[in-house]
Amino acid sequence: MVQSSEVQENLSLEIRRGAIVLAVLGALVEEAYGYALRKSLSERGLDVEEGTLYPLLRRLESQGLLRSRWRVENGRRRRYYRTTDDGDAVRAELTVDWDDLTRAMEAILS
Amino acid sequence: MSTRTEWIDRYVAEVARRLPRRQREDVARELASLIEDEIDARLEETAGRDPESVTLDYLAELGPPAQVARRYRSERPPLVGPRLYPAFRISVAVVLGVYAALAALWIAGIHTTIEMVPFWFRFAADTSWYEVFVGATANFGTLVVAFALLDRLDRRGDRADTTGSWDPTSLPEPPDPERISRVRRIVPVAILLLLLLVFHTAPGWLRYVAVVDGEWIVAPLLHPNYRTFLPWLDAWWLSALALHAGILVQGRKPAWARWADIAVDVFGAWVLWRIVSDGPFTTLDPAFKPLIGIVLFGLLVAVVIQTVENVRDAGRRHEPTRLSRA
Repeated sequence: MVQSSEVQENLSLEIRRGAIVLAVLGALVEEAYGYALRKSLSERGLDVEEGTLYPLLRRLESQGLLRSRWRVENGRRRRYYRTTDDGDAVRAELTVDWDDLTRAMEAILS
Repeated sequence: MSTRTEWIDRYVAEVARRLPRRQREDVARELASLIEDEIDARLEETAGRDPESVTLDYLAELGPPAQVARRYRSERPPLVGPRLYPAFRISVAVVLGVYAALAALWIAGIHTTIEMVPFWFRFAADTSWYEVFVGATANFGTLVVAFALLDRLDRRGDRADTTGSWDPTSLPEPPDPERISRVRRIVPVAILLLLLLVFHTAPGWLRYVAVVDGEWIVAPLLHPNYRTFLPWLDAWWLSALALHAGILVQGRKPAWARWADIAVDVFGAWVLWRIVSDGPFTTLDPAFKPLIGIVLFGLLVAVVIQTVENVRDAGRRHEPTRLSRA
């Protein structure tokens, strides 16, 4: 039998999945590398596991929403990401959807 | 190399080997760089802690390499995954190579039928071109289905690897890309020595068996004229022997040996071309020519593949983590 905590954990993951994509698209308006992005999201209250975030960056890049380049900083090569024009357009649309959804959810849950 | 770097390299290599080849290099480089960043940050937070234990703790938290690799893989996995693909490629080359060789003999009038379920090698007098095509397709399809099933089982094993806790100290050492297995080192040397021995001391051992007018005959394979080509064959085989003996002694195949391999293959192709054009070489000519044609074609393919790989490798002689540091 499936434990209720496991069910709750899976549902929570599902809610977070879409939100993380929007958060990444929002944060990468400015160029950042993987670790800096994770830290910045964490400082703003959104902890994302590295095992989730780093593959996500590559997936968004392969979908044309992010672009990346290697840069050398303090003797270390790092891959920097930022949104493409398509990424910016998708972020704008998703933000509208997000606002509608949060308003609706607030109304329902309150 | 510091121990910290060694653990990162081991981890990244374990993730990379589970990824498709085209993705492997890029992900390995980025993952190594990200892990370095994470560990640096932890070392700053926990000043005084041993870098090795911080690294091992972090890798333990990051999760088993199979789990990380699964997240990096594309959402629609291929029929045959990266781990089994090299074996799949070799199996296809062997089965279809034998099939092509028998087809060439069939064109030359020599019929063969081998029942090797589930494979199909039927080249009889009444075999049609349509059946030849169907046979090749069926053999290829059998391999695809077999490897796809094996791949499913392999992935199930991977999923089992991703559950529960895991210990990063169990990570194996990353494989040396230049290391050659003992069998692959010894077999070419043994074959070359055998060829030289037979062609010089016992050419009569090379015989063929055939049915002529209902009677079995055993006849020598080499035409007396074969000695005309022997100096060229010697030059080819001795240069190959020197190369493989060097690889055998070193236990690895460095970049120079790869280029030397190409040169030997090109020279071998030229020798074979001379044999085809200036023969006779065997008593079976011209029936033997298609076989030499297949060997020539095989050498040409080997030269092209090896050259492409060498050029690609020249641009990335590396270990993944080293790439993360400029």
